[in-house]
Amino acid sequence: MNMASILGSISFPGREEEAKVLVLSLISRQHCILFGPPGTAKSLLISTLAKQFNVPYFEYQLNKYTLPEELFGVPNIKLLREQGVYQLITTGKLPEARLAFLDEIFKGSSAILNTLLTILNERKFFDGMQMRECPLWTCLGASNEVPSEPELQAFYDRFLFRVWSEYLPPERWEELLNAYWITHQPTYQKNLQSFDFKVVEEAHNKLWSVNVFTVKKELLEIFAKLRDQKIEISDRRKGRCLIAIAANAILNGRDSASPEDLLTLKYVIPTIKDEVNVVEQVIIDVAGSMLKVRQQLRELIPQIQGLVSELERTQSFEEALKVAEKLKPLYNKFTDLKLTAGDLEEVKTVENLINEFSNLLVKKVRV
Amino acid sequence: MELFQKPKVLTVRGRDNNVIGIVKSANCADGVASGMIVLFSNPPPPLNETVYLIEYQVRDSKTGKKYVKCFKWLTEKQVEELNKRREEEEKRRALEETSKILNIPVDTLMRCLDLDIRMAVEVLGRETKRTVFGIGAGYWKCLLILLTHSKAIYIDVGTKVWAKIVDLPIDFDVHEAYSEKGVIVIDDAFEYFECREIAKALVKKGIPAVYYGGESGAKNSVTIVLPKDSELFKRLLAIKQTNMPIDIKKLVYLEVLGISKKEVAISD
Repeated sequence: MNMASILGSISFPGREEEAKVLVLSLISRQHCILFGPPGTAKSLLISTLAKQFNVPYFEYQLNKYTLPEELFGVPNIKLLREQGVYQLITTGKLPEARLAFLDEIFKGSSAILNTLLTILNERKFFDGMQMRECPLWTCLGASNEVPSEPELQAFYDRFLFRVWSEYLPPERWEELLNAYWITHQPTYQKNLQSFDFKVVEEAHNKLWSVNVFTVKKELLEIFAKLRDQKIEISDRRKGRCLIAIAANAILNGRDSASPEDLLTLKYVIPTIKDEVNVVEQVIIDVAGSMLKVRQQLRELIPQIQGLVSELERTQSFEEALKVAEKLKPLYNKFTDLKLTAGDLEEVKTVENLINEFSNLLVKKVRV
Repeated sequence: MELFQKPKVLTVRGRDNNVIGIVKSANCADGVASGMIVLFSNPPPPLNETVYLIEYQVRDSKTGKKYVKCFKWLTEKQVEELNKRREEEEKRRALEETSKILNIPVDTLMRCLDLDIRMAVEVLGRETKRTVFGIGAGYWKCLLILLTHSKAIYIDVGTKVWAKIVDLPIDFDVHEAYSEKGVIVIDDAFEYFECREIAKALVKKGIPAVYYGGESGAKNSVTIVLPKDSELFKRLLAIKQTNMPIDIKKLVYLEVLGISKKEVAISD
């Protein structure tokens, strides 16, 4: 069981991107927010994912009349009366949740948002007289729109991942109807596959061992190009881009970052929807050639594997040499690609295959 | 006689109408320096002649100046004649020794050495029934005649001839080769230092080999002498003719030659 299988369990038509970002936020232990008009399955997607784990989960829809106690718990009157201690009863509330989903998150009052800010940022909660640790792993938020109020910007910045959802295009409507009928069955959520949260914790533990600097050059280029396009990224967010990159590498079972991980940044860098396409284009411009190199390397793999198999079947010294001759153009291509490929893991794969080929060839020519 | 080590002097007429010399060039170590006056003991050399001082002493004059007193001198022509005679002797001695080792008459050997390099290699190879390698142009030529798998005679024919027995492998650029066995030149894969180590390993195994390279523009090579009909010869030839990646080719060569990567310092 790994994070990829958790991702695979959330199959909503047209919501693959959103599902992936939710999983990335779990791996990175960061918070995530989904934007989109009402009825874009934001809530369904988040609650489906959260309910698959057997961990304390808190879900609430905020509005301007929501009181802090609805989220954080009511005061323990008995304790206050008998012992004079002010303490909240937080059972089943956000301070005790491992996963939380707050719908219409920016509609909370300033009292709520201030308390939330500390919980999200420091994972601590001021319970009357004392500061308490909160077990919160990830807070998943949903909203129809990006907050424009300056006082909400600090709160908004706590969400590393942001995704903008749209209504599905006509070609996916049929799929949508089919999925709707399944996901809204009364038994749907009860019958969901359940996952041990340890899978998430284990994935997160690997995060800091990912070699993210394999794409450092490209990342710096992306930052510079975005600045030219007047998209400023805070220093904190620049650093946290690495977390998103590492999380994507983990999701794909790698221990070093590759150019495709950079595409994750389109969920991290934009602060408004209009910036998404600009950011994506810049990433593709910078990482595009690398991605092409990667593709070409991937194409080499089955070809060299084929030659290894062919070599295995050879019966004579001469036949073995003939197969070796076939490797030359592939080898030359690999040598060229390697110059620009840097530390792509495909380089290692091809190198291993070439080593396998040469070891086998040496065995074949042995007198 | 090593002329460059002896003071070179031009003779002129002195104040007393006698022949004296002025040092033109000298090795400063023995106190003789350019410009010093040379007084000759009788008989003095001819006037206006370049001579080399053979026996001499640096002395102080009454006025405190240093001068050279020469007891024995040779003119340039005499020195040339001496050198020529000595070279002839050395050549004859070298040829006599070589002909003995190769078991061919001195005259035959001398005639072979006078041929152009291609002919010299072939004729010597046929006469001696040995493997001969050569390189040369015009009068200058170098020949390597294999005696055993690990010994060869190296003959240098130039302004003088000298020959010596060398241990294989040596650094030798094989341009011409004659062998009743097969000669294969591996020059398509290895670095110079690898060629040297391969040649060493081969000689250890009883296979004669020489190596070459290391200079800018030079093709690194190992020249190996093997029976033409041997499996090893055929395999090496097949590998050479196969256009495969160099790194892999190296491994294949080594495997077929039975040499480990460690022996030639090739890293994994």
